Amino acid sequence: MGYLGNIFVQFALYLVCALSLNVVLGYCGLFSMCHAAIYGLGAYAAAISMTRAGLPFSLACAIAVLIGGLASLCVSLPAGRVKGDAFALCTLAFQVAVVELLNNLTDLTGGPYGIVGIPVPHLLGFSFHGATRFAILAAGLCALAVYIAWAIARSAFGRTMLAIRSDELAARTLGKNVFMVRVVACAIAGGVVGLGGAVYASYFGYIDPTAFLLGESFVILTMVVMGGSGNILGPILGAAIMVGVPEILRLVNIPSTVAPNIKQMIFGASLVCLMFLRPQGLWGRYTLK
Amino acid sequence: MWIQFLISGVSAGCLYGLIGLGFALVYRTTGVFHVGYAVVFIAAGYCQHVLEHNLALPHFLSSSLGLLFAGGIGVGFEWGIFRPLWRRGSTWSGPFVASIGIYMVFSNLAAALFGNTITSLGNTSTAFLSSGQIPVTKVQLAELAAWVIGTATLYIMLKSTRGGLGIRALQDNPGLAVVLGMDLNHTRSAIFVAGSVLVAVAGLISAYDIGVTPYAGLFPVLAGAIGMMVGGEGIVAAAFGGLMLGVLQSLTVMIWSSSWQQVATFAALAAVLLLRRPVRLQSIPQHRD
Repeated sequence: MGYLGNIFVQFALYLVCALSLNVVLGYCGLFSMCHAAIYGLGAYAAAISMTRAGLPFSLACAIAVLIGGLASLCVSLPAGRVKGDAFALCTLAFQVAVVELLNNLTDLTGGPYGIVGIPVPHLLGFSFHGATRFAILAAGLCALAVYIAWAIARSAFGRTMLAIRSDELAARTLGKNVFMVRVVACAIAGGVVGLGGAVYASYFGYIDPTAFLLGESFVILTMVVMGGSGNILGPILGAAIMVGVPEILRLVNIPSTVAPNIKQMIFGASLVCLMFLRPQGLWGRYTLK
Repeated sequence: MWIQFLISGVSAGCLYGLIGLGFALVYRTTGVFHVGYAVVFIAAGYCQHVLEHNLALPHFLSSSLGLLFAGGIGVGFEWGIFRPLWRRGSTWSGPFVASIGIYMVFSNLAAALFGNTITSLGNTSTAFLSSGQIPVTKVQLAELAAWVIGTATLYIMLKSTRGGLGIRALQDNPGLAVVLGMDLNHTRSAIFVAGSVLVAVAGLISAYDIGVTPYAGLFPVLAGAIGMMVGGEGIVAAAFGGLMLGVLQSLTVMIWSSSWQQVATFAALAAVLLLRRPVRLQSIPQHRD
């Protein structure tokens, strides 16, 4: 049960990241390459709240959502004026800068040593100790993330995002504030992925900057591109593949020293192949051209 | 003391400038935001190492073959991946995602083959050209020479040769250039070879200086891309943008510490975005072959 619980928690954490990026990429058509950094900021915000200030898990999650949203604003306010590859470059630079901040602000973040002893979450008197119990919390997180994605997709705001993605000029002509829509979409996505970071920190009990490097942003992007973007099912499929492939590699008995590299090579090759064979991803609606 | 920082800033800026030139050459003409240049950056160093240490080839020959190999890889990406994608009507996001895939595959292949530790090409970084209060290393002089030769050659080529005219035509109005009989495939291949060689020269010098690791290429390529944005319109301007970025990083080290270099890079990018709208940073329309 513990093994399955662990797999499910990993799936839930990946799913939150993928659904969050889907709001930015799938609905707005913006390539955000700093999702791992915002995920990390959420994790650090929650960890510091719980270990230093002694705040309960629920308040720490609220702070993580706030920090995630604010961090997204920090990058989207200057970068929201541009789109396409320029937006991708801005977010890439933000990703690199955040990791450097996490490494350098040693008094606050512990620097390269990270933060240890992050307490197990308690909610309404129930302790989520162990992978099996934590899976209940992860299921709640999944449900919340899917609900938010579903609510955004059905809302007028979601339709505005799709309109801007499809034809920015037409949306402007109809009086839509493209810049503001992009900034708000990024803030919502940042809040969601920040919450995921808080759950990540409390699950593992230890965080350091290496968990939130640029490679992780590539992994999140891979999930969304592979599963497909512009709907809810694509990111779910992408997260499932992301969790499933390492488990399959484990069955094939690949040496553990090269297994992470082979996993990354498979994902990289999949990205290239998908651009030829199915640019909208396996189950997506937004075609990358 | 400050002059030492200036020298090291100029030498780092020369590398960013060379990469920025290669990046701008491909980006301004074909619209590919080529993250895969990170692979080209490390390829020359690894090839040189294998040829000299495993096949015992002479130093100069192995370095030249390393550059040739990296140039070949660069044009191989164009032939094997980008050209077929353009034929399918891809604009910028397809090649961008494919180039991320290229980076993931080949950097992890290098990690699987050579390990994550630094592969050294020899202890040349300590070879001083001048002693006294302002020591200049041979590597720093090589960086400056490569920047001057690379920038001047590209400038003369773009201004004075028929091939350069074709590249400028592709940059300004690709549709008209094709209508007037320009061989699009030939010109794009030449662009990818020239861009890859520029990046490979930077990679090889960097490898001589600090060695090479599988993931060492991404940050310099990102810095080169930011240098291109800082430099502004035009291809050759990227060389000066990269140079300015290197000096800015060095000033950051002088005033604060080396830990804040990448934050300074991000700040430069944010300043560029806030103070002036980047010209032609959006994707350049592609034409089906």
